[in-house]
Amino acid sequence: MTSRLARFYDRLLSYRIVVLIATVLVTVLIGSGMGKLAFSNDYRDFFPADDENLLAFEQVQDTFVRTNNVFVAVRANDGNIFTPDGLTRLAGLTNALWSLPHVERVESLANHQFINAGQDTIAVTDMVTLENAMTAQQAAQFRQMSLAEVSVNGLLASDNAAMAGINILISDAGVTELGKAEFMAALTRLLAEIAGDDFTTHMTGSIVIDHGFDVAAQGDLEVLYAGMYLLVLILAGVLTRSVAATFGVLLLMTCSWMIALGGAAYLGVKLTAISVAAPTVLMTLSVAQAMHIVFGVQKAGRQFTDRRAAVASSMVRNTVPLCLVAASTGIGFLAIMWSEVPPLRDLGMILTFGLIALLVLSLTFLPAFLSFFSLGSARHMRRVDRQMIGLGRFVAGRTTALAVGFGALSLCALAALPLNRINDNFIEYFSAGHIIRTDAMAINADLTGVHHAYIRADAISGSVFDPGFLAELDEFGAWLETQPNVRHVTTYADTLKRLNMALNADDAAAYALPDTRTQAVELNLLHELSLPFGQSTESMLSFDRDAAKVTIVLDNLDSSDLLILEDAIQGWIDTNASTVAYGRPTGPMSMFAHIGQSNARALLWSTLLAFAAVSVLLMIALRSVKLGLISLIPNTLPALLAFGIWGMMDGQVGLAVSIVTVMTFGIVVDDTVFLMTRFREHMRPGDFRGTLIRTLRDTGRPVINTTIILVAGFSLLAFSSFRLNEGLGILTALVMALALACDLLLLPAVLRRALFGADTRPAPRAPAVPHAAE
Amino acid sequence: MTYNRRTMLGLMGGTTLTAMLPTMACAQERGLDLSQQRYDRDRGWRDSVSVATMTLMVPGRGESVRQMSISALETDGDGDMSLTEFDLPRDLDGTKFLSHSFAVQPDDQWLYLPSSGQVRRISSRNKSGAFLGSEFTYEDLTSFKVGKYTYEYAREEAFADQPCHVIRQVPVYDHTGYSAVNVWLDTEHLRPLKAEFTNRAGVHFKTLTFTDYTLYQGQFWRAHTAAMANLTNGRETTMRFDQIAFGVGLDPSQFSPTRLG
Repeated sequence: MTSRLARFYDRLLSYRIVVLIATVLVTVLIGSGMGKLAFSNDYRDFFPADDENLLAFEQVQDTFVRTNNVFVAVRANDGNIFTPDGLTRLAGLTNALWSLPHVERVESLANHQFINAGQDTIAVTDMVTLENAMTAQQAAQFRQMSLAEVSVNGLLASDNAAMAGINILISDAGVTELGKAEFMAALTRLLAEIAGDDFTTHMTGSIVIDHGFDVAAQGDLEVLYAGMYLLVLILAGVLTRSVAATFGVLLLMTCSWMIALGGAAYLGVKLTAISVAAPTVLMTLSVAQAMHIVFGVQKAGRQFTDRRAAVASSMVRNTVPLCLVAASTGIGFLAIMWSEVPPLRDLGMILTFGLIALLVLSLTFLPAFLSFFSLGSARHMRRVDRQMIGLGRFVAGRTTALAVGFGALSLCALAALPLNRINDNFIEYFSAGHIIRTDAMAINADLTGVHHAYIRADAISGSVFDPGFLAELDEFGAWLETQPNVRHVTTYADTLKRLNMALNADDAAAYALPDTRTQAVELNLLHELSLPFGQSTESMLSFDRDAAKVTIVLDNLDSSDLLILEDAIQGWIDTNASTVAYGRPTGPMSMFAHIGQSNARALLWSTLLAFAAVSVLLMIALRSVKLGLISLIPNTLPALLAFGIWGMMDGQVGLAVSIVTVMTFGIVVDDTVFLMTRFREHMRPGDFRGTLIRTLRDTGRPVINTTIILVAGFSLLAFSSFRLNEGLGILTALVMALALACDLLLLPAVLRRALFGADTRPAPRAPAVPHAAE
Repeated sequence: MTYNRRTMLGLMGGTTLTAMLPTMACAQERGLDLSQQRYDRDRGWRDSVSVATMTLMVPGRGESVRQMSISALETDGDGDMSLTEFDLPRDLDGTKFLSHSFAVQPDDQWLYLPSSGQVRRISSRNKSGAFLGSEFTYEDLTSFKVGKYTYEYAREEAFADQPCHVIRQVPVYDHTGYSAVNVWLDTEHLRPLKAEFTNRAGVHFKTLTFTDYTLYQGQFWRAHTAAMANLTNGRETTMRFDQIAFGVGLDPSQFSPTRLG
């Protein structure tokens, strides 16, 4: 095997120019697909096509008017928006909002359709017009009237009259990334005009939050990710003392990205917020592979004066463990590919692609490239060697103490694991001072909730005007109002009650549902014939009048709380449904709450499966069941410990944080595979201490270098104002650091106990000469 | 109507002002002239009845049908009167909708509710909401009056194999849902064949096409089918007119709100 590898690399290096040219050609050829790479903002791409949450949402969207909303609040700084000036401004803003791109409808106090009763007239009309400014007295009356209206108070006007809300509905065309950016730019300009000393504006809603994600992600990509890559390359240069090595890492990762993303693009994969993690994962793997090879070349440089011979020697030593690492990591990526969640499947596929490219490149391009340069000084290598011997002695000298110490701390961290819960809070993804968060909090505190959920209610009788259906719908709405986190509920029953009251000369006693189906139909017709532009009962009723939509306005709440509410709703439905067939609660927030759950679960299971498969692979490779089982400890413990610590720090495991296991899988496995295969190679019966020192001299440095580089790089992400990236950065750095700690502190004790049995006594402290003990 | 004024000013602004004024004046004159001719050719029908069937089509959701009998009376003033009796859905049977329409001032509208026997007047400033859940608005269904719009001749263009005048109409009445309507009139009879509606954001979002024209009494062209397609949501509503008859001798007193019940 060794001689065959030596012959292979000998020949490879003699054709090194050809190898370099071939690499460039293949990379450019496959990488050209990157031009076709599309980024998806469509929530539908996050779900399997038959997902029941997706189907429920699509059904609501198809049955009723599609809703993508932006909510704007205008606060009068003197505490009363119901002044002639305040109302005129509101009317002006409402009017101007109509002409923004993609706007289908604007609802505010200024164009809210108040239902009024006259002698023989029903007027469904807006009260505030630009043409006729109100007097102060009229404004005060209007205030009284508005706040008495259930469809206004707590939705379009705050109970204390300081804040007014404007709900803007946007067509699906406005939901693309470009549409969002265009709309948000226009809206921001408009709001800047209206705000001033007297008025403050806030905005929120699914489009604003979505757009905020896009901007924050983009900003992080430009600043923090750029900084992370720069730091990684600089550290790679400093730690290896080699500019050539740095460029090797850079080229290796660039080529593997291009091939992975280009290949994926050719297969029609669209990038999502989840699969954009792929380049970063490939970067970590590139660093690890390059560190092993470069270190091997530098070490061999002491024996061989010929650069090519040194490179070939390193490659012969590293090819088998590198392949083993790649195979193990590949298992992990394949496991992700099998998940049910489409973006995870795509991520798994891109990574598998990239991994294959990376392995081939590390075994061909990298040696060819490195063979042109002299890598680092002998002095540097001697210092590194001394450090590793020192480390080996230190660890071997107090294996048990270190293991017990580490074990004790581990138990504490493991005990905190249950503090984690699968949860996302989309508003709190933004850091505390971020405008999106402060705006949402202001609106949530003073006016109305920031999230919406919808439930489709089908009339079993086939008509929404059936008195039994309306009564149950009304009861359901009333029950929903009493639930925690529910701010406002809109059902068609409320509209009919208000119309009925108007038909009875605004007698409050007549605020009740119509008695007969005919009456309900007539009230509806009266209403329909009176609606202004952009308004139709389609927002509440299906076009064939067999289903109604219930709209629930929710507080800024955690996704886990939303799931609790959804369970409660299901409970109510199970006991009370008789004339209504209810759909699942749905809406953008609900969808992503479910995505978060299914992603986290899918990742958990695929990672567990992958670790099990990796240990089987190691059993075969190391020809030892015992070692295969032992590998489970350093492979799984780091992530478990990191999540334990995360439980104490934060405990929210959301969409982004759950990707950490994927992000770190390759590195954790790399550490384990190299340390364990080398340990096995260097093992001499009875000489634990010598075995450990030889192992660390052989492979300790690249493992430590990789860890230092990546921990530093990911720590930079912790400075993100976007909490998704912050959590991702902290946890990834934590897992990688803990993996190294586990390999150096716990693994030696386990290997000693397992392979050296009872005949190894603790080594004496600080022996003068290496290999002197035992 | 600030939006429209602004658009016009924008069009007229800058150095092209002097160059454009004569052409614009000419285009406006020609548009108005043709529209006046269109209106004049359709005068004198006195009264008519028809049965309208509205079919709402929602992609992937199927169809829903509304049916109504419409009686219309021509008046000497600037508006007509119409009485709509709903037949389908059956829930609406017996309900009547009366309208006295005017060119610019808001229409007078009443609704007769059979369950209570009451007649209710409806505020008709809002004529731009969806009519019975369809893609039509009440605004689309009122009769054509010259005074409702300002006109500008756009171009000559063939539609459905017929040479047409394309005229840009800008509503002058309040509470419209449109910033402009482009109308295709065939050059021979000045019948509307197509209309494209532009919303307040300046986007063409609905298209109406008229087909199956029949000539009545040797003078009055009536389309038997009007199809409104909403380009934003993919929904479409067709309206079929059957049993069209003219000069049936309707009595103006039938169109009085007090006689509705």
